[in-house]
Amino acid sequence: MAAAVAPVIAESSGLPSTALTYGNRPLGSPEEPLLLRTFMPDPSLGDEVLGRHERGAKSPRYSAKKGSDVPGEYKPIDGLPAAIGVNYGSALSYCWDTVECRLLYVWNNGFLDMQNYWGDPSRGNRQSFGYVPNLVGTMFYKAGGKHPVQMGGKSLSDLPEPPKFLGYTKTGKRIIFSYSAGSAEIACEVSSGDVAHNLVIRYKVKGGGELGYQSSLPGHTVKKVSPSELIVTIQGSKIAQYEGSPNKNLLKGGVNAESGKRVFAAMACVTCHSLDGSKSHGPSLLGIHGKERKIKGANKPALADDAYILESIRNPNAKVVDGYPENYMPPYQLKKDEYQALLLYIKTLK
Amino acid sequence: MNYLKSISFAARVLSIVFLTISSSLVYSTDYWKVETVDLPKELPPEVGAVQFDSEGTLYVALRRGDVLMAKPVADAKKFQWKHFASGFHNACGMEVVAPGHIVISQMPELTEVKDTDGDGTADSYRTMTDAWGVSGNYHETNEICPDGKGGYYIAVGTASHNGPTFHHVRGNYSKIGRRGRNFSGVQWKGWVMHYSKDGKVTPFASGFRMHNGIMRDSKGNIWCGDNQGDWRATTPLYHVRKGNFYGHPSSLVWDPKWPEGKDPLKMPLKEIDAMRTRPAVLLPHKEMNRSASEPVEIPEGFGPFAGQMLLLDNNSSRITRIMLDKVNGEYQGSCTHFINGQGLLSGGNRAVFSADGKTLFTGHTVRGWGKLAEGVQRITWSGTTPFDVHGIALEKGGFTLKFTKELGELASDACSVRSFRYESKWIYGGPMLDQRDEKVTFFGSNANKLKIDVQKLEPLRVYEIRFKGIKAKDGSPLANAVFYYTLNQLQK
Ligand code: HEC
Repeated sequence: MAAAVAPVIAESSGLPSTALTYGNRPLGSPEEPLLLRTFMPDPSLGDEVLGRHERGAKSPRYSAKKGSDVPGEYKPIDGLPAAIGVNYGSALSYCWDTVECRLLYVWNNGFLDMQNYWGDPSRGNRQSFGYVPNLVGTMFYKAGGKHPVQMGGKSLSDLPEPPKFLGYTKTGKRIIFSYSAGSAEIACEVSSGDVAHNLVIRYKVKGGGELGYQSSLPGHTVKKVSPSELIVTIQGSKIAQYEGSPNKNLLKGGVNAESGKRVFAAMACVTCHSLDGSKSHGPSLLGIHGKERKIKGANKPALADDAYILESIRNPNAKVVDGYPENYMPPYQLKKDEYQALLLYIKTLK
Repeated sequence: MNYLKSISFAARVLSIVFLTISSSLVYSTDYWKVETVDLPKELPPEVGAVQFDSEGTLYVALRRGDVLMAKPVADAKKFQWKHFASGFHNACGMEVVAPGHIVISQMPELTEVKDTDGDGTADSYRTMTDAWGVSGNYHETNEICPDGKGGYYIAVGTASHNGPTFHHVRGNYSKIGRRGRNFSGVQWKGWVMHYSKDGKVTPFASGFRMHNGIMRDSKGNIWCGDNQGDWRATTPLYHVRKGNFYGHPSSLVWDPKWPEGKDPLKMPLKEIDAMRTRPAVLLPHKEMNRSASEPVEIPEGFGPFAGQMLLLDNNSSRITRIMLDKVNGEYQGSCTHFINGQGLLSGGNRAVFSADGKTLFTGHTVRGWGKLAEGVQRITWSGTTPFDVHGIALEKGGFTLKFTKELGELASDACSVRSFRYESKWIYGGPMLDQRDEKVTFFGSNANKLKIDVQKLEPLRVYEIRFKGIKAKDGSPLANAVFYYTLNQLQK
């Protein structure tokens, strides 16, 4: 699963090698970095590092059919809403956050597996409820404690006003983020050092006092070039290893309604089909098995038997349910047993 | 398997093959021709936005993050695409300021993108505003249109219960706003915001569900579609004005004047109904438009309907034509098909006319869900005027329809009228209620006009006008048989 091969962009196309293809593991290179704005993984950064974020909460399940809450809860998941991922090939990947205005974590030997967001090209669709990609590679730096950058001796975490992201420039292989803190404007550039797990971060400030740097983490060397310029070198070490999207065997435990439910969830069928009879992009699947279905362009209804349901998933356009669009439900490329399991699950929806 | 169905399935397999082999299909019709424009085949053509610069270069924003550009050429397969910018999170809104200078609305912010060194690719990405929250939900996309004074209106979409929200969100979080099917757990979801030239951001109008498409017409009016769903019995078109509330309750929690702790979803329907501004035009779901996206105004040069509006459908291979009627100073009006099939892709998302008005470019995407709903197309007018209804005006006691050509003889059963109403409530979509056949008398008063008297005209209903077997004097058949007029007010 999770095809790791990125379709190569032909040089003759005139497109940069970093253009985003159908591949789920986009990569940059040392000369041509890839900058990706997407939901980013949150490797348990904690409330102190994410101090400028607000807290989400669980929320009661709601039925649009009833117009009221129903038993159950939506639980929040981990993720960073507005961070940026940057990749320089196998040498360096980092996550820089526009809310904290801060480098959050750094890894190498891989970047992101976008399957949760972009779907699996070999299967034709998105396959998860959340849209947060998975990390690939070896993490060797993770932010901890207060914001390490200081203005006038004070951590940016302690300024009354949060720092404000201003944008970035991207020229050649250089990416420079800028943000304001009080009346100062700070520029930050992250690059890899000469040895493994080594990082170099340059900070420059315009206006508003003296720049400082203080981290409680080991391995930091701070070189003051001038009152307005710092070079921080960080010698990290392996913190964790990530392998991308887990190669889940959805049919663990056999081909049955239980595993069909997992396939249904993994393929995100629920984005178009409710299970409670309420309307959505597609018909509700509640109780359809054994019922007569009105089919567009047909003069008599079709019986939703096993063959019908399997065909509906394999070839959505073969019989289009009256009142719903054709060319809308994606054709899936599932394993034979996964179709069977889906059928068994749909039969239980009564 | 039913014969018809197997044909359509075969056709589908064929078109998959065509699309992936990067061929452009040319579908001729007598009036408007739809062609598929090839993008570089390596890139998923999930089109978030399409716009032109002043030199006629077409910019296409793809939702994974790349922005391409090309000068349109005669052969739709042979556009020479160049890469302009990259790195946007679901870029669904774009305006071109000048060649090499664009504004993108992406999930977390409005971004000014510039090629400052003139090498043909962007190097400067400046945040113009990030005044809204980000909850981590995939559905919170944004669209923009210019305000005519150097600023922008931003349509900030709600989140969907089909996706989660995060433990850590950007911006204030509201537990009450988080409730519901489509919801507003963080700030300004379901609002239209105004970004003024000097960078000030102010809330403009609320009550939207998914106003995926916002437009300022040549008279300065702001228009938004919305998608059928909760609180949307069918797809509406709204005339957006400052301070109004448009019926989807969740966004109300962010109104600065909203009482602390009050849950909009627990308000009586009557209260919500009294607060809301109704759609100028309702587009019956199955019959017309399942999910409106960007509206565009038809320029001169594209056929007989200049000044009217086209509304893309994100959920079908259709484009709706809107015929506005100003009654007692307020817009209401009617709709019919502009394109229905004819090789149009599904997933209509954005549209832009070329500067000469001759070509409409459309961008298609359905959240990366299906190849048959992704890509760029262009539509050109053949120069032949179809026989169609040009406009419908409400009169005292009926409607006057203007046709594009002189009417031929009318049979006594040539026209029938039916009416119904919709109810806006929590349910996802809703039926046509209180349907009734209307008693009508009709007579061609002028050569290209038809007056229809309807015995019972009532406000807050939709009137369906249906024709059977009518032809123009020159023998051409009527291009569209069905029209829906949204009657909010009677003529005073
Ligand atoms: C993008 C929206 C979408 C997704 C995702 C989707 N479907 Fe569908 N589905 C539809 C639509 C629309 C129809 C009705 C039109 C048709 O028959 O093709 C439909 C029809 C069906 C039907 C026939 C229902 C009936 O009332 O007769 C079945 C069964 C079905 N889908 C199963 C699935 C399964 C299983 C999945 C996940 C593997 C899935 N669908 C994913 C949109 C979707």
